[in-house]
Amino acid sequence: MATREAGKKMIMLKSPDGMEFEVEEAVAMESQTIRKMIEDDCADTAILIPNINSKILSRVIEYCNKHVPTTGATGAAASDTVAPAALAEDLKIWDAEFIKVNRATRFDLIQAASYLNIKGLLDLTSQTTIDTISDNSLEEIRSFLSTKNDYLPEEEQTIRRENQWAFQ
Amino acid sequence: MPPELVRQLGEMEELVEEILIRLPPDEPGNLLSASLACKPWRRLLASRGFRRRYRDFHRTPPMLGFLHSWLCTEFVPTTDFRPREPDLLQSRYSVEDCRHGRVLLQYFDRDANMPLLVIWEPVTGSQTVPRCPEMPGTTSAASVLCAADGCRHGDCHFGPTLVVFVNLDEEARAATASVYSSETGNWSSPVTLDVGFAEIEISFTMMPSVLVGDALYFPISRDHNNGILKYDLGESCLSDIHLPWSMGCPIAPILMASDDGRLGLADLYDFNLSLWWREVDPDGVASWAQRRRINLETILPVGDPEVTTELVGSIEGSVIVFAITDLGTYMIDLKSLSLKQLSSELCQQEDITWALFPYLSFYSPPGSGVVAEASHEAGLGDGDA
Repeated sequence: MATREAGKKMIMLKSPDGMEFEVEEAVAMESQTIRKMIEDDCADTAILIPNINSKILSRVIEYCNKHVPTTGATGAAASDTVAPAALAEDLKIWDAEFIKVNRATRFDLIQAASYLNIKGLLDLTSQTTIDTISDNSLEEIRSFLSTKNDYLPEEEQTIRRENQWAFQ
Repeated sequence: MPPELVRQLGEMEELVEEILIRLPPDEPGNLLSASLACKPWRRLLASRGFRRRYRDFHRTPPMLGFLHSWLCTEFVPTTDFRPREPDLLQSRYSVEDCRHGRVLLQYFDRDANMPLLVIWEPVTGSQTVPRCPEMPGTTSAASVLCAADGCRHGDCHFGPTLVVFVNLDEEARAATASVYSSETGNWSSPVTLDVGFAEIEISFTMMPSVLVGDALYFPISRDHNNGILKYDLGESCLSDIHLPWSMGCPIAPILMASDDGRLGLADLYDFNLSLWWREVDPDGVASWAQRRRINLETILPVGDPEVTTELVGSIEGSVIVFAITDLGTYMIDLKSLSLKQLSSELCQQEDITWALFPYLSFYSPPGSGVVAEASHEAGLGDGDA
């Protein structure tokens, strides 16, 4: 339910497992999907976020709180006295800590960021995954992303033979 | 890993795409590895839809390597990518041009007693051999480019190609140009320009041509003075462009193409780089304006200061130039004044004039189809993802 608290418009987000999160509208609107619902007046009551459990939704809200312009989680992250470069550096350090999660949580976050259309979170989660697999062998990539290898051994050998440069 | 944590990410194509689109373009080996993870990924990576989004996401194609004409023609990689080269590349061919993912090579077929042009696409390994135009002349230059309208390039290997061939005929005092289209397989009717050079020597310099807007510019040397020959692709005509008077007599200027569509000219003398841009005023009158003088003395590494430094090429759509000293070949960004060494073996030596042709392209892993022919079918994919 939309309420007002300390002059800020609040909005209720509900996860499928029944948890409710009251967040500032500005924070919720970091999600382009929720922004569109609010702008289309589809958000008078609590917004149900399907497929995103309370654990992941709370992490997503934590991210949006930190990244919403003008006020952050501390309430002073983007004050006029903080230089933009210092602020960006602060966010970078915070992001690096935020993304220190296990693989399953990271994939859940990618899925949530994709559904909720939160570009920054999608960039962060996807880029971290790429950074991880960039330094690894093909077997490690398959294992990391839980991908089933459906190549016949001879098919894989042919491609490897014809593109030896990539496997040296 | 507990079963509830197992994610069949391979089945969530949209998310896989979000991740794979971030594979760095200058690490083609990782793109190829990813395409070998499983067949759905290979189909995704080779699909036109993914390639288009990948190109839009990364915008500027990486420099996968360069070709040079120093003693022999060679592809020098600057990433882990290694192309499948035409047989006898080093001994048989000379490099004429390189643009839009295509390399234009020339060699003399002794059996047929005629020069042949070869369009080679390093990413796919494909080669096309257009019949050479029959035009009189003593010296020639040729350029290659993508023929597709509105193409953003970087990944247009399978599109139509144009080759522009220009001959200089001292006897007829004329320059003649003809254009080959891969779509028709034919050369256009030649167009000529009277260049009026009785009793003077005229030739193309070794330096690469540049494409600016709808025109190609070829550097020429006229009685040891430099000039530029322009071929307008839209109007199908040749014209002559003089260098700025105040430039004096540059020894070996190179042409440049700015990201906002201006023709540029750079000359290096005693570490002093002069940069000129051709400006067009509201009445359509073009003139040269000198924009910058840059002293490269503190930037360019040299061993013997007596050995001259030279410019050998540029990247179109940027202010990046290539320079050689006695210690090697360097890439210099004239905006940030940052420097990167490309080779210590390719260096300035007396009596050898050579040019550098950067090869910029996104890499596309081989598409599906018959796996044994994967590299021939590269990038065709299974349609849009």
